[in-house]
Amino acid sequence: MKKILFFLHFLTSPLLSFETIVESEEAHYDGECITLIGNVHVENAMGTVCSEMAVLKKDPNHLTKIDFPWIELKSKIVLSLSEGGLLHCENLFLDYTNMTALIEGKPQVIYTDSIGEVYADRAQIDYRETDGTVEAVKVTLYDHVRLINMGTEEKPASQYALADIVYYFPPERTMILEGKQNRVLFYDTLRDIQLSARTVRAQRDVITKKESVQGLGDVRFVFGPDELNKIKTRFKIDE
Amino acid sequence: MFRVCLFLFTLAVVAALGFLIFPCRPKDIAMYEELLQSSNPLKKDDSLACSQQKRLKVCKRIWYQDKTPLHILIESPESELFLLQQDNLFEITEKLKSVACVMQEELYYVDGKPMQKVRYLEAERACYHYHSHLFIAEDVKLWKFELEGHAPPESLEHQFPLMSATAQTVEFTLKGEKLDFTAHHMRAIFNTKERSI
Repeated sequence: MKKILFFLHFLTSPLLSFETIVESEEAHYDGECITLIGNVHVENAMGTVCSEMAVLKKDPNHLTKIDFPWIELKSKIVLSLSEGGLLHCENLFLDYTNMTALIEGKPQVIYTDSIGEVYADRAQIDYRETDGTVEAVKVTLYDHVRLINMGTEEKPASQYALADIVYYFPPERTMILEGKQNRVLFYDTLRDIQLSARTVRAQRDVITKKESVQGLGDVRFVFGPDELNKIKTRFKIDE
Repeated sequence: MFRVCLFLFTLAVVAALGFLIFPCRPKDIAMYEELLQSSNPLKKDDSLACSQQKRLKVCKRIWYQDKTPLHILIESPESELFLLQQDNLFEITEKLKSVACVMQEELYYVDGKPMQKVRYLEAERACYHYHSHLFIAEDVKLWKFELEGHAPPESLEHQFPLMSATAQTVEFTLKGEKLDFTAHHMRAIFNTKERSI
């Protein structure tokens, strides 16, 4: 999840001290919008993003720090971070005036890196600007959310979670998984932990770096047959 | 009287011989009609006329009315002006070599201070279509600057470009309410300060 936040910095990096290279087959500017069409490729020190189309809308009254505070990327978006993360989505809308980034998948937004995988129908990232840098304060994943954590070489893990909505608060290192129509399912195959609840709260202590997972609301520590089958099917877990 | 009759008789004989020796065939009539048509410039079907003129030290100053009047300066050491005429339609184009173009893109104020965005492009070749006011440049290098003041810049030396780019072609038209600007196969580098794009 930490790496996905690089995504924000990547898109807002024109604000920062990065050299950004933009390529496209066609670039059109009518005084209000820049439209990039065909093999759009944006690259800076944080990574590269490719899409079929990009639209940058101008701030006509110069109310914001950047000239084009509304950036929309469309179709077959692939973000490759220099740190190793890969994000696939269909639409991405960055609104600097509201400090939000909206991401839509077709069918899903997919983020993968060496640690794990994140799947959701759409996502929203809220951020704030402090001292000239952009910091994500909240990441929300909507609908059919699937999370996989395989850990690192030093600290391997095998954790799977299903939820309807996931809220992640980077400054607090806290993740809240919620179920609307379905229960949240959390499965740790290494430690053989099964958790079914309305809400699951996962937190990493900033000082001790210990992780804790807590179930809230009608908590069960053993999956029902349907739940076990569901999580194994959705994640293709073989035992 | 006799002489007059003899003259008229001789004339009639000569005319009769003329018709016999040089008969006016349908083919000849058609040829005659064709010659008649081609000699009339207003009735030409596929007529194409071209004239050209060489120009040296070309300098064009164009004032373009956006929200505010914007100044465009196009310079070239040499150009060729072509006047093409086809079916009573005239097309005037100017082909320029080693073109430099300074375009005011926008005039605005920041905290009451007048500011402007200026685009500067250099191209190996360019073509200006007078009728459509379309400017097409090839093998283009492009820079963008943010400068103080609203007066057209006299020099861009020692200025820090916000953006530098290359493009296979760049085209813009000065016709219409907005200055439409299109680049093909563009590669731009944004040197980030604030207001980078």
